[in-house]
Amino acid sequence: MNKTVNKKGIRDRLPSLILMLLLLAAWQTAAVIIDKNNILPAPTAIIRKIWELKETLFLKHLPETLLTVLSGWGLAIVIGVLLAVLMHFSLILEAMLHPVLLVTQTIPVMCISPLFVIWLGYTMGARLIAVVLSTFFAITLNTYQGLQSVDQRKKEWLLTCGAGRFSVFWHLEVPTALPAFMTALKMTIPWAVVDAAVAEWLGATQGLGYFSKRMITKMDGAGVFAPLVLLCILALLGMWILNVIDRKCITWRSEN
Amino acid sequence: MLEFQNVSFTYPGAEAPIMENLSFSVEAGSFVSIIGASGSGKSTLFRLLNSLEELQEGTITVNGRDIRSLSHYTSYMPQQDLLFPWRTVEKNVMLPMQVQKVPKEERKRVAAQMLAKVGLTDWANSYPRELSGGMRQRVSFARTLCAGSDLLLLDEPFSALDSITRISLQEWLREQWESLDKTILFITHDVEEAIFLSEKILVLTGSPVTGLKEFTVPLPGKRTREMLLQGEIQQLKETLVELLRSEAAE
Repeated sequence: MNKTVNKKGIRDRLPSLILMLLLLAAWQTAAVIIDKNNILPAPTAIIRKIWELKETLFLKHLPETLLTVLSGWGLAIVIGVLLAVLMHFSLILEAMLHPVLLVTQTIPVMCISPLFVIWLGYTMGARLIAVVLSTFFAITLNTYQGLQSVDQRKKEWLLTCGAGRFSVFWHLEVPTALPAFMTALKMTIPWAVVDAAVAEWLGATQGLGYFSKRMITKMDGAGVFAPLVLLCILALLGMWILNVIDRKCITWRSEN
Repeated sequence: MLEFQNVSFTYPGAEAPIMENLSFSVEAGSFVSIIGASGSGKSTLFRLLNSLEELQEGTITVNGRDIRSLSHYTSYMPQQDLLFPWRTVEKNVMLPMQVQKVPKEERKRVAAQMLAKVGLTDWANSYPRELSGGMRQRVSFARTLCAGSDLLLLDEPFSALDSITRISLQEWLREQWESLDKTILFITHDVEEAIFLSEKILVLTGSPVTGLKEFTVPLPGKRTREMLLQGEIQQLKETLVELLRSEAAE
C-alpha cells in the first residue's frame, strides 16, 4: 500500500521535477554563455557560494530571519484568530472591523515598512509589524469564514442536547473552522518569509534579506542569490511541515 | 408524557399559518409514528418540540411541564446521522453527555453500554467515515440514547438508507424500543414503516394542520414482517395511503 502511494507520489511530482531541472539547465547554460558572474551567476556558482558562506548564512543570518518569521507569523496567528472570533461573536464588531481590515490590505507593505523603521529604528519590532501586516488578514478572513460555515443542522442538534453558546463554539464551530484555518496558515507562511526578508532589506543589521542587500552593494551576484535560495527552502519547508500536520490531524476536511 | 395544547404556528414571512389550534397527546412508553404529505408540517412539530422555533400560541408540555421551562427534555435523532467527523464513534456517542457536563468516567461507562446495545463496541475507536450508512445510523441512535431523555424524537432516520438496510434497522429499532423504557415519536413518510414500527399512527390533516387523525395498529408487541400481509393491516395501509393522497391533492 505504502509503496503504491510512494510510486504515485513520485509519478505525480515527476513533471514539475523535469520542468525544474530543464529550467536550471537553461539557466546554467545561459550563465556559462554570458559568463558574467556578478550579473547572472550560474546555479552551481550559487551552491558554491552557499557552501563558502555556510557559517555566516546558517549561524548568523538564517536564525535571525527564522526568528522574525516565527515571531511575526505567530503574532499574526494570535491577532488573526482573535479578530476572527470577535467578528464571529459580534455582528457590530464584524461590521466595524471588516472594512478597516480591508483597508489595511490595500497598503503595500514594502512602501510602508520604512515608516516602521523611522518609528522603531533597526529593531525586530519594525520587522514584526511588516510580517504581521502582510499575513494576519488572510488568517482572520479564513478563520472567520470557517467559523461561519458550520452545518446548521449539527448546530440545532447540539442545541437540542442542551448546548449553550460556548459548547456550540467549542464542540462544533472550532473543529469546523480548523481546515480553513490550516489553509490560511499554508497560504501565509511563504508571505511571512518573503515579507520578513523585505523588512530586513529595508531596515536591519542581520538576516538573510539584509545579507542579500549587502551583496548587491558588492556586485556579488552569487552572494545575492545564496540567501534567496535559503529563503525559498525556508518557505517550502514551512509549507511541507504544515501539509504533514494537515494530512495527519485534519482528516475530516472533505467531510466538512 | 407529551401534550400539544391549541398550538398555532406561522413561519416568519409566511402568509398562512402551518398549524392552527393543534392539540394531541402521546402516552408515556408508546411508539407513535407521525405521517403526513410533504410540507404538511411534520418537521415543524419536531422543531417546535425541540424549541428550535419559538412557540407563538398554545403550550407544549412534557411530563406536565411547559417546555419553555425545561432544558434537554428530548433526545433527537435527525434524518441524516450528523455525526461529527473529527470525533471517534465513542466520542460522538459521548457528546450529548459532555455538553451536559456529565463526569468523564460516567460518560465512558454509558457510551460503552450504549455501543454494546447497538452492537458497535468494536468500532468505538473508529471514525464515522469508516462505517457503513446503517452503522452510522446505529451510532446516531446510541448517541440519541445518551442524550438521556425519555422522549425520543426520530425524524425519518432511515430515509437515506437502501431498502435492505432500512428493513433490518426497522426490525432492530423495534427490538431496541422493547428493551428500553422510552417514548418514541417517529416521523416518516413511509406508511409501511409506520405500521411495522408503531402502536399508534398520527396523520397530519388539513392545511393549516388543525388536527391529527389517530389510527391504532392492530399488531402485537412482538411482530414480524410477515404480519404486514394480514388483511386488516393491508386495509389500514390502503386507508392511510388514500388519506395521504387526498391530503396531498388539497
